[in-house]
Amino acid sequence: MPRYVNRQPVALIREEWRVVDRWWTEEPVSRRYFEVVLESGQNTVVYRDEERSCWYTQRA
Amino acid sequence: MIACIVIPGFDLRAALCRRPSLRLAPAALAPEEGSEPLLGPVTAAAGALGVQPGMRLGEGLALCPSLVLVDPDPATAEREWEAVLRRLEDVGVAVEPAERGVVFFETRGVERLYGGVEAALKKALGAVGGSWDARVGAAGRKFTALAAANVARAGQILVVSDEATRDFLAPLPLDLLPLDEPRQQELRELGVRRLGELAGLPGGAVAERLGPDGRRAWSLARGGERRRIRGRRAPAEFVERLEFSDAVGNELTLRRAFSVLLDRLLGQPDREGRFVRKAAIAARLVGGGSWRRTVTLRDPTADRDRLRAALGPKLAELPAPVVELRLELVQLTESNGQQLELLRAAGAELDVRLKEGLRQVRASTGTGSVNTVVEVAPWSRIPEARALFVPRDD
Repeated sequence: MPRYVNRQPVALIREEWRVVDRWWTEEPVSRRYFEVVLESGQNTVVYRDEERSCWYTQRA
Repeated sequence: MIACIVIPGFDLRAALCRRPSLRLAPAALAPEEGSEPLLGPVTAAAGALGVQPGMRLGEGLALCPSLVLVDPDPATAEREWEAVLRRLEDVGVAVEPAERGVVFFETRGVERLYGGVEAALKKALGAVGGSWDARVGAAGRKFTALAAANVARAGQILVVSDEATRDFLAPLPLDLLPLDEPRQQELRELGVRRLGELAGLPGGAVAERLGPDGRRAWSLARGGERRRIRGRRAPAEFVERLEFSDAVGNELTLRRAFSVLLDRLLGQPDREGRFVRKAAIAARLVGGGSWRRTVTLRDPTADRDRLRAALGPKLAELPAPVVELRLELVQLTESNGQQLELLRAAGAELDVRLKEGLRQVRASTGTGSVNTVVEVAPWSRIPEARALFVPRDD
């Protein structure tokens, strides 16, 4: 679960979902997405890339 | 006929103007600060001791411990070279300078005036001045004239007729060709050491082995193309200078001084509103050296801010504190206005401008640098799969 996004504390997790795709290719996608509201009121989507074990902020 | 005047080691000779006693001593032009430590031109005394131009600094000093390194003085060199060109123009020839120390001109226009090719060349050699040890070559083609000037002795005039061109070029070494060292080395390893040997090879084979540069060198070795000389347009004489009582190294002060010089230059009524195409900023450094940078503007302008933006950053490259700062407008445009727009550009006109802008970006950054975003799967759950970057090289 994300607690901080870009050093800002997460106030609320609005939604959570998983994307598993392209598992038949050499670049499979396995991500756990979170739509969160930060303490500043900003809405943002972050995900954890299960393949690389890293957190990312989604901008698109 | 095309004539070529060569003054070997011009930059060193110009730097020695202030220290004439060193002309007979072993001396060499020191490398520029920040560049590779290679020696520039050397004096005859240094050459006699085995010191060669292009030699590594350490090697030169090991060969000749008494070797004096002369700091480059580009401002003096530029001034002296300009003076040489003007003296030649005063003789009546339209000059095409190739680099400092090498200039071409056509003798046809002055042959009748002075009574023949030889007399015209003598007149030109006299105009350059005896102290420069200039040498003259003349031939039907540029490269042959250059080669003749390079093999002539100081003060000698060497004329090569069209019929004698092949025989004249054949025994000359390859280093007269504008080929980089690895290519020359490649040719030497193939057993080609003289221009005649290169000229004797089939052109197609040379192009296949050495590429376009090799093909050009091959063509030069056979005498080169018959090209006309394009006389230069004499530079404008707009110069402003500022002397400092104490040497200044502070960039802020220098920038202020530069702004003052720029204002003075742009305010000169003789400019008659013409735009600046090429400008130079020069400085006399504490300790005797000099520094000079030239900037050619892509779009000529008389806009103060644009000129400041183009020239100002060069001040950061100054290698030492400055005792005199000089600003020169080297080339001005003929026109003194820009077409104004009656209606705002739209449609095709904007497309043309956009294409030109993109072309310039591609030219400076290489192909693949301009891309279009193409939507391929807007429905995808993975955001980065929704669109692709497609290179635009049209």
